[in-house]
Amino acid sequence: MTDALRPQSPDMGDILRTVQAFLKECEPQLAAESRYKAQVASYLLGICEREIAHGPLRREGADALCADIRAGRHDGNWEALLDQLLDETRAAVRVTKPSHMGEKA
Amino acid sequence: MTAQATEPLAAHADLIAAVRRRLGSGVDVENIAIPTLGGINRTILFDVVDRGHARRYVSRQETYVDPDSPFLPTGDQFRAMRIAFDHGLPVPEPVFEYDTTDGMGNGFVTAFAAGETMPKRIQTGAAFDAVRPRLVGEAADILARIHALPLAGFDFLGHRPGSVDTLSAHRDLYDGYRQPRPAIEAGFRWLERNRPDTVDRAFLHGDFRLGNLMVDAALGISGVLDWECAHLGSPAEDLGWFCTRSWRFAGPNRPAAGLASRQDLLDAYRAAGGGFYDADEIRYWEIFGLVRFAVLNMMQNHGHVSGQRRGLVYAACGRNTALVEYDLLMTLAGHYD
Repeated sequence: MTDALRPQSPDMGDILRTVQAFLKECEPQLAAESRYKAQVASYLLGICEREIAHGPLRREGADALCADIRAGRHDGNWEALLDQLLDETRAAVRVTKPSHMGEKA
Repeated sequence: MTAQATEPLAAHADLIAAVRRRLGSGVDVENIAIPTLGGINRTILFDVVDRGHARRYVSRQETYVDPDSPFLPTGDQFRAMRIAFDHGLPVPEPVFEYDTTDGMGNGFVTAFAAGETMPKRIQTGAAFDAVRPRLVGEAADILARIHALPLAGFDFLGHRPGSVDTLSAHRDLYDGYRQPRPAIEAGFRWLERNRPDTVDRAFLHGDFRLGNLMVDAALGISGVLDWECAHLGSPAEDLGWFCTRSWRFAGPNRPAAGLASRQDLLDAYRAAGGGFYDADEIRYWEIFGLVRFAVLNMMQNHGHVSGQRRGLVYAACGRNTALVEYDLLMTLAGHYD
């Protein structure tokens, strides 16, 4: 037994794309409620695919930053704070839904 | 709302019994359907046939009973709709509330309002070309009439957290989800530092946006739906929510529901007897609207990950929080108007 796992094929991104393609095929046969849910399911799989490619989204120290913002400790460097938060949020949007910023998925 | 296939009558014996208790033991219930996108409540559409005459109704039942839920109990929603309806506002007629005998939980039945609620179809569909130029004026007129409803009738809303201080109420919700999000924190900080000097007090619909307006291609706005966020506050809060970027859909550069400018909305509101608000005060409440919508997405996420109410759509809402944060930060930084 070993902890090491040999790379297998297809990779996760490929599997997610394959399941997405299957959901798309099903959509025309589904009633409105299920069709809408199938579209949401495809959307969620797309998020997983982009997140795998990006690597885990993690921000250390969010608690402390939130406490500082609330206490007004960033009021003096507000523009810089917004720039920093926008950079981080762009990364999250790129994973969630790039088209929200006019970028291609 | 798009209706799906007709439901079997046998699966809705409780609904049929509840209807017969109120509308007569001789009536039939037919064409039961459960629409897509029913939102927070369970929604059922059905016809009541009385001596050959059919009328369509809507049943709404509470599904999410988190004690911290920001939504009005259904009994209060029903009361608020009743007052609005009695004052001639375009509200689906409230018919009856469920009680314990019905075994339907909390909820109520209203008349069905026909029309379109999908914002993009209203904004861009050829069928709505004729009515579209009138919609913001009609919305402003309805808002002015909602805000003119006598406050004395709404004492039952006075102690709602949103009526006491809507900003604190949403910060309390946010804190309850225990998910530190610096962008939302920055939004709250900005709102705290830029609070308007004076705040008027009126009855507010609380969720007045294009998606909650039933639009008839010939008649215009035929119904104002979803009264579960009604509370007391500044009319500017309702006007700002109507303009919030998340509700502009196909028209991001036209703040008033993606259809017109802020000033068009404010001028029409004033002409309809509403108070005077300037565009900057509306912008304040749009920032509030973005923070609020981000927090509502966190609420859906919380319901999902806590196991209280799991589902695909709620999971997607959780992830969509980042999209609203992006719009919020772009607006705070002055890149979006």
